[in-house]
Amino acid sequence: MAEALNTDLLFRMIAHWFATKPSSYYGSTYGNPLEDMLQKPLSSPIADSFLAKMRQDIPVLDALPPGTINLYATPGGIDIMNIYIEVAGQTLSLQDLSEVSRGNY
Amino acid sequence: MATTKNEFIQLAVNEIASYPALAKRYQIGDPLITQAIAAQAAMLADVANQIEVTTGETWLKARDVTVKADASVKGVLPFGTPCIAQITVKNTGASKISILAGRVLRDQSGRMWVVSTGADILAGATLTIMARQVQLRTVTHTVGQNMPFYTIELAAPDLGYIAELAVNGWQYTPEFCNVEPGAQIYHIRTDENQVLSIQFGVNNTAGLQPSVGQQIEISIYDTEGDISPTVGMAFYFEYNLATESVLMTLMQVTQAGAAPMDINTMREVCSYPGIYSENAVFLSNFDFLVRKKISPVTFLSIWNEAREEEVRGADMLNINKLFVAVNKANTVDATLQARITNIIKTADDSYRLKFVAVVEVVIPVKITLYVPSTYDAAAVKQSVMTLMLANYGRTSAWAQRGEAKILKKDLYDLFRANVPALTQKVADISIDSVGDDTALLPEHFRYVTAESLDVVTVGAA
Repeated sequence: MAEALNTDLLFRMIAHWFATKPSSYYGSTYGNPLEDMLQKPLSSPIADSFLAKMRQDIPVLDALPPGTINLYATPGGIDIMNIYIEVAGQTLSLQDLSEVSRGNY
Repeated sequence: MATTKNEFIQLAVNEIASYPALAKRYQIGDPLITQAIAAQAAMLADVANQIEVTTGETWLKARDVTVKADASVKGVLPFGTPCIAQITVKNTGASKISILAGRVLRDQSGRMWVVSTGADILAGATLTIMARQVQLRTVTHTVGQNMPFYTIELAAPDLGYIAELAVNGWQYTPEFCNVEPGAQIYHIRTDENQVLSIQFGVNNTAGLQPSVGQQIEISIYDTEGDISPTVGMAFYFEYNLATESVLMTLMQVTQAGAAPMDINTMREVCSYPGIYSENAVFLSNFDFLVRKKISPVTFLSIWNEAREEEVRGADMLNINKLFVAVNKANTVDATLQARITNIIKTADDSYRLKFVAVVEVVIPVKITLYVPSTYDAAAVKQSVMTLMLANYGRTSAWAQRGEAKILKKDLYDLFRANVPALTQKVADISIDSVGDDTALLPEHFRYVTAESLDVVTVGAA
């Protein structure tokens, strides 16, 4: 059996977090607050609070050395902002996260 | 104690060691594992909580829904009470006008009123009429099925509460007992969600089942309940003839409107024994009957000949007499007494009634508290005063009943359950005296006031 803890698992956690809305789990606010981003100026520092919530919900991200997890945003047109998550050198766009399989736990 | 969420999580974690891969991921806090466990633990904890409450309900009606279900079984119906007002009408027109009973008025807030006693008023004259704050709504129901105990649920009004209802051509009966087969009767019931419904009988046993396709007309009077109008408020006709010119103002409220019983009153009312029906078979508990129908009261006490003669000696005039002492806020005594007379006579017309004036009695209570030095004695004293006034003050449920007594054991339990300082090992409570030498009469409206409470705190070692 392969090592249980690897980068792929990290991506699966993030994908799972991203696919979950807050309060989907009974008694927990775990999940990504994507709706909070609506109606916010594209120039606002939304990435910080988004990342803070993710770190809080997925404790292992906080245990990693600082700088391992980064969130980047690039403008992609008048009303589009592309957000990328970078974990240990691997970058993934939020758009592609749905393709990360959650797997059998 | 109900098992908590954390305890359930711990139980799951104790098992997780059997799955090494999962155990590792649990240790780093992988949300794929932890969130699922936590959600299940939260649900189990809620179920555990509910089981805990249900276990206690054998002795105590803890949940609101249990109280409502109990009220439903005991026939406490969630009817509102309409405000009844006396209105001065001055005819400022040139010709005589007649206001008939049933005519609809509006007040200056746009509420609907229905005239219950009308008047013929000559030009320039001033007379009074009576009106009730109700609004008529008619529902026509087409019977869809021929079945025993056919039931029609009634929709609640958009605003306010249902005050009364009638079914065209059918008679109301409080129960199906003593009803002839074939009699056109209906029964009004409620469920634990306080939804009112009308129920018809069973063919060949009691009453009549309505046949399929039959149109049943139901008149419902809705009221807005407690509206507390001010004297001098203006009224207008909903529709008036061009020749009619009147000035209508509120002279007096003879009965204050009220919402249906709230859950606290219901809890109190339903603490009466369950076996009681609204007829003369069970010759007792008129207190329950009246309280159920004219809630909320400020004070109500009903007693019989035996109790009366215990306190005031025998008298021939007491034979077969019921004694009532009642006090209700914002309601004229005559109206209230007429209503109570009507309620009791409907249940049993063999009794004679006597209304006794309510006597307010303030009970002096002296309490000594031994408070540990680690607690703020003044704060403890204050919380004891607040508890006493909430539970035994003038507006408390306890004070509303006749012959209410303050039991020392209840006080000890009350303080120990609600004041943490008094549960400490060195703390002590002493109820030095409750009440004075005044004899307890059934018409005494007894309560505790801030002035009559004497709470002394002594430092405990």
